[in-house]
Amino acid sequence: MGLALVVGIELIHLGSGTVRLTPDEVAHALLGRPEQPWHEDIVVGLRLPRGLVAITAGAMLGAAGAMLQAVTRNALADPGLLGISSGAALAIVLAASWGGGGMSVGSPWAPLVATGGAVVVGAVVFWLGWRQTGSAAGGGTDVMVLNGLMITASVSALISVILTLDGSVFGTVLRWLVGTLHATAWQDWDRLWPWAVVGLVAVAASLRAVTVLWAGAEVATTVGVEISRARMVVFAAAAVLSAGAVCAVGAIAFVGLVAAHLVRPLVGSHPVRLLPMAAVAGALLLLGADTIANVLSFAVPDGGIAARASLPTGAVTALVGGPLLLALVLKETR
Amino acid sequence: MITARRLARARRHQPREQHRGAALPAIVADQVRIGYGERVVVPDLDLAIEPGSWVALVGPNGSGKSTILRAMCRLLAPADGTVLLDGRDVGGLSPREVATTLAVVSQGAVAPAGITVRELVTQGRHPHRALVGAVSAEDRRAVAEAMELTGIEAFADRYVERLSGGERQRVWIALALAQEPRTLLLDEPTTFLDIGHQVEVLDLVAKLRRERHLTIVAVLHDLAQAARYADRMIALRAGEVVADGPPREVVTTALVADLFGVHASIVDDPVTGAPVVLPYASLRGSADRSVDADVATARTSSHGGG
Repeated sequence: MGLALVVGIELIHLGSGTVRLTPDEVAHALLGRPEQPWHEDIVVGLRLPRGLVAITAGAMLGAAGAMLQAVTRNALADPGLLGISSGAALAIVLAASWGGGGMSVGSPWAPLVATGGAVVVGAVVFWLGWRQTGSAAGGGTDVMVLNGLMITASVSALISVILTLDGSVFGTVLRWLVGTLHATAWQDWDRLWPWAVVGLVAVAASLRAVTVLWAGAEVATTVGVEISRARMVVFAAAAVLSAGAVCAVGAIAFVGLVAAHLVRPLVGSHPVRLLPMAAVAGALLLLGADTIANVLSFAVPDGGIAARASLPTGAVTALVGGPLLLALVLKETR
Repeated sequence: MITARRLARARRHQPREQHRGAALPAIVADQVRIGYGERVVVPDLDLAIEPGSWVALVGPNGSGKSTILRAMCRLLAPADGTVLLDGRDVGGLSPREVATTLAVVSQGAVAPAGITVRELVTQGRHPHRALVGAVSAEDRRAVAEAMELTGIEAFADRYVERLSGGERQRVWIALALAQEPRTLLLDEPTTFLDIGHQVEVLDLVAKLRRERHLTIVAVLHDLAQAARYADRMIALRAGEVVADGPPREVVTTALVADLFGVHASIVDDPVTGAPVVLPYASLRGSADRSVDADVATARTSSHGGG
């Protein structure tokens, strides 16, 4: 059902833009029987990569969020909250600033650089917890989340400082920092999918570790799972997923957090069921947000933002995700 | 497929037969020093635990009972000395090998919300399973058997968080059993339970020991329970063994005074014959007055009143 929803929204998504097409026209264009020859150019040549990137990146963020929530047993864990996304962003901004134009967001090496940053900053959060509590598990959940917030704030400030000092990267990086799928082309998809495959393998390989960690430290103890090592494996997998997604769509917030929350009432918290469903929900969320951003951008008749660029997708996820998160927190703390 | 599985099963059962014949100790601690960083908790421990025995570790808080358990299950690497598990050095074993030999029931374990009893017990199969792949028939059999032995099949599909404390403790024991270990370590398994559930859990452990030929090492707070269920008690103070032997020899007024700083009467349980400790006055903070005199007065007055 989730997949059917994804396809349905994708049809609407592909139809939205400067040239509006009905889902029917889109379907025909996709099946190689376009009603107008140029429909195929628009749908397959221009818009399909954007849709695929939204679906894939959304799924990656959703899965990463669910993984982190399971292993930290914290419903608020999220790549954004544990410093992983900001680490990826910092690495790319640094690379763009030092490496000049060659090392920009669009570089094929960007995902690797971003993953490096995500892993380093994630490791700092982990290490801090270990230093503070002496526990090999990187501190309790609350300690870890607090450290993550603190590091995220520091890293974000650092990014601002770099952007202020180096005006040349400001233009190319800023829009991406907000998070947008505008002007996503087939090259972006080519860069994203190998990373998604790596992420999928990482998820499959760490699913058992995720489940044991979710079951708790006592379970890990008796069944012979080394908590610190298992956590590092899971964090690395989450870093790969988040960094790949961040490279493609920018630092889009809330998708990782909200996706898991949306599906938990439906499938429960067991990682084996939660992870795949959170991935589907993440895909739906990002695709939906991008569709909304697209429709809103072109709903403005003329002038305004539509004349220059479309509404950033990250703004939509934040607008929708913020209040949704607040509602979830209120419901849970009741 | 079937042949491979049968082979693996035969191989797993082999050492059990061997050690029954050779009567190799289940656990040996040889000049073991354990600590956390600079702080030494257990300076020098020598210990051999016979297979099939029930050993209770007793002693005041901070006497190193739980630390010794942690060293036995490889959670803590000894600073010095070796721990042998069925004759093999624990330090040289993989976590999986340790987990298929020995299972731990930790104190105060909390299951995550939204996990069913069966799902939690299935986690015990982790050391037997390959890195990826579905739950095998063998896994399902072991899980069903563990749930049957602990009497929790009736709520196999209920959420663990909805169970009572006693039921939950049985689930944790079932998880340990699903590992198919030869030794069970229990860290204060009765701490958060009322006496009804305390006895239920200890009876269950006694039954498992009989039916599964398990070696039991348990940290127990209640001396009477330790004396009632264990056939050997090891009393610890500041990481050192101060008494070791059958409960009737270990549980003495002198030991209780030494270990816990209380004066106590020791009487025999009229039903089981196990020694029961009845503390009546603290030794602490009573240096400048005669406790015995106070107690004597109290006794006289209560007798007078009765």
